[in-house]
Amino acid sequence: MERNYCRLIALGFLVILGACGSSQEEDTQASIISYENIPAPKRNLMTDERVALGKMLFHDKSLSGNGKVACVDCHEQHYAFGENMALSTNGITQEPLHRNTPPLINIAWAEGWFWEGGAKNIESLMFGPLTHPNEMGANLKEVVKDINDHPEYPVLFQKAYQIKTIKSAHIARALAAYCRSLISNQSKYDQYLNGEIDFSYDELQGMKIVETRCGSCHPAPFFTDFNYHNIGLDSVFSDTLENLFQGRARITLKEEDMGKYKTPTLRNIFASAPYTHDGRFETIDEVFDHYESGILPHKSLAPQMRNDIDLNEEEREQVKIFLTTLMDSTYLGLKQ
Amino acid sequence: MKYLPYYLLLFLLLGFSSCDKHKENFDVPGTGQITLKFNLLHDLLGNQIPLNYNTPYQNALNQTYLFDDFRMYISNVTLRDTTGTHYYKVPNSYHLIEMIDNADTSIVIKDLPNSNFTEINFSVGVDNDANYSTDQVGDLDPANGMAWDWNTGYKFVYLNGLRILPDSSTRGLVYHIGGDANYRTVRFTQKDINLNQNNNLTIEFDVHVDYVFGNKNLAEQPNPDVGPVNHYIDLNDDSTNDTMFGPNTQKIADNYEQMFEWKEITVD
Repeated sequence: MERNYCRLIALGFLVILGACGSSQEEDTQASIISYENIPAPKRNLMTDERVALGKMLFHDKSLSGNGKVACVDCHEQHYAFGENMALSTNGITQEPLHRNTPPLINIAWAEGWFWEGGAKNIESLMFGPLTHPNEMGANLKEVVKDINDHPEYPVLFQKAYQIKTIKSAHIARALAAYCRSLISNQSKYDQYLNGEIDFSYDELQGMKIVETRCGSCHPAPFFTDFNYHNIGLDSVFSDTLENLFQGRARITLKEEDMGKYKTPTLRNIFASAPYTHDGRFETIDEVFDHYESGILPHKSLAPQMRNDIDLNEEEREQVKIFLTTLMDSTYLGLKQ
Repeated sequence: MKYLPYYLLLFLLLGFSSCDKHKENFDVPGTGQITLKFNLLHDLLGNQIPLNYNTPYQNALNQTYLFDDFRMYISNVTLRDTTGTHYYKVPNSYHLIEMIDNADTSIVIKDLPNSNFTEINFSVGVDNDANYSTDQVGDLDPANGMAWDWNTGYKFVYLNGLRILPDSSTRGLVYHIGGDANYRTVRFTQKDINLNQNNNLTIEFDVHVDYVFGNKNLAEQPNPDVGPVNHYIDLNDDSTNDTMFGPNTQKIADNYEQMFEWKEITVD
C-alpha cells in the first residue's frame, strides 16, 4: 500500500515537471487499479475476512424476503457482475425492474453509485437492492435477526468486525467490502500498459479513436469519468415514480441534470450488454448508431453530444477490436 | 468604552473556537440525567389533544386528512450554561421519536455534567455528517425504515395517512421530508436547568403536530424577517419533490420548527 502511494506521489511530481516518458505514466496508471489501492472508508477498511464474509452474503438467498434471491442472481460474474437482459425479472416478484443491472466493475473508485448517483457510498447503496420490494424485498429487522441466529455468521462477523451483535450496517459493510474487491485489471489492455505485449495496428488505431472521440467521458484507466451525462436518449423526462425518469436531476433537483446518467465503463463491455441505464441498446453497433444519428436535443445535453459522433465502418471495427482488449477473462471467471 | 472592540473580538473568538468542539470542559463530575418528553398533540375542533391515528383532522385550508404514521428524528441535543460559551453537546445524539404501536416519545440522556444550564437546543432531522451515509447503528439504523434506499439520506419527518376529499374519496397523504435545507434547530431559553445534584430532570415539550401544515390559529406569515413564519400548506400541492425535498417541504420545515412548546421541567 505504502509503496503504491509513493509511486502515485512520484508520478504526480513527474507529471508536474513534465519529465516523464509516456510508458512510465501508463505503467503507473495501470497499477492504480490494484487490490492494494482500493479506496475504502476508515470504518470499513479492506481485509480478507471482510471480503470473504461479503462474498458469502452476496451468494446467500436468505437475505431476500422470500429466501429465493441472492445478490449474485442479478450480478453474475460472467456478465461482468451484471446481467444479460435489459430490465431484470430476477427479483422476488419477478416484475421487470426500471433500470439495467449495473455491472460491478472497479466500483470502489466511483464517487456516486446507482445510475444517477443517489447512493453516496457503497455501504449505503446495499440497502437499495436489499430492501426494494421488486428486488430482494428484505425486511432488514428479520434479516438481522436471522443472521444473528445463524450457526456461522456471528463467528465470522466477530472475526471480521470485532462485534458481538450484528446490525444491518455490518451486513452492508461486508457486502461493500466484497464489491470493492471486484477489480478488473488483467485485460489485454492492462498487459499492453505494463509492457508485456504489443498491440496490433488495428488495436492501436482503435485505442486512438477511443482516446480522441470517446476519451472525454471514457478516459483510461477506468474508461469512465465516473460522472453523469445526458447523451440524448430522451427529450421528455416524466416526474412519475419518484422522478425515476429524470436521471441525476432526481438527486440534485437541478434542471441542468435532467436525463443525466453515470458513464458506464468500457471495460468488459461485451460481457455487460445490453447497454444504457434501461438497457435499450442490445449491441455496441446500436450504441454507435445512436451516437451517429439518434441524439435528441435538450438543454442538459452533454456538449460532446452536440455534434454527432460519426465513425466509418473501418473505424467502428477498429474501436470494437480495441474494446476487445478491455475484456478481462480473469475478472469474468473465464480463465482456465 | 474603548475596550469594547476587544471584548467583541474575545466574544467572537470564543464563539468560533467553541463551534467545532463537541464538549466543553466542566470542572464538575457528570452524573445527571435528563429525560426529554415529547407530548404529540393535534388540534381537534379547536382543542390541542393527544395525536390520534385515523382521526380526521382539518388544516387551515379546511382540507381533511388523517395520519396513520408519524415519526421524526430529534438530534444533537445541546445544553448551554449561563455564560453562553460553555456548552455540552450530547455525543452521537440521534433519536427517533415514533408513535407506531406504542408511543416512544421520550429521550433519556445520561451522564450529563452537573451544571446550571440556561438553554437547551436540538434539531429536527439528521445533520449532514450523518445524513450522507445510511451505514449507521442505533436509531439511525436503516432497519427503522427512515432511510431512503435510492438517495442516501434520512427522512427527517415522516407523515403517512390519507386525504379525505370533498366527495369522501381518499388519496394517500405522504410527506417524507429530508434534505439539508430542511434540517432545523430549535432553542429554548425560558427556564433554568439546574443539574447541580445527582438528579434526574424531566423536560416536557408539547409538540403541535398540526402545525406542520400551518398553525391555523395564526395568520400566514411567510417572511422570516418579520418573525416566526407560518405557512398554510395546500395538500393538493403534492408533486414528488414537494413531499420530499422541494420548495413545499421547506415551508413545512419552517412550520415544524415552530411546533415545539416548552411545557414544564420537573425533578424526579
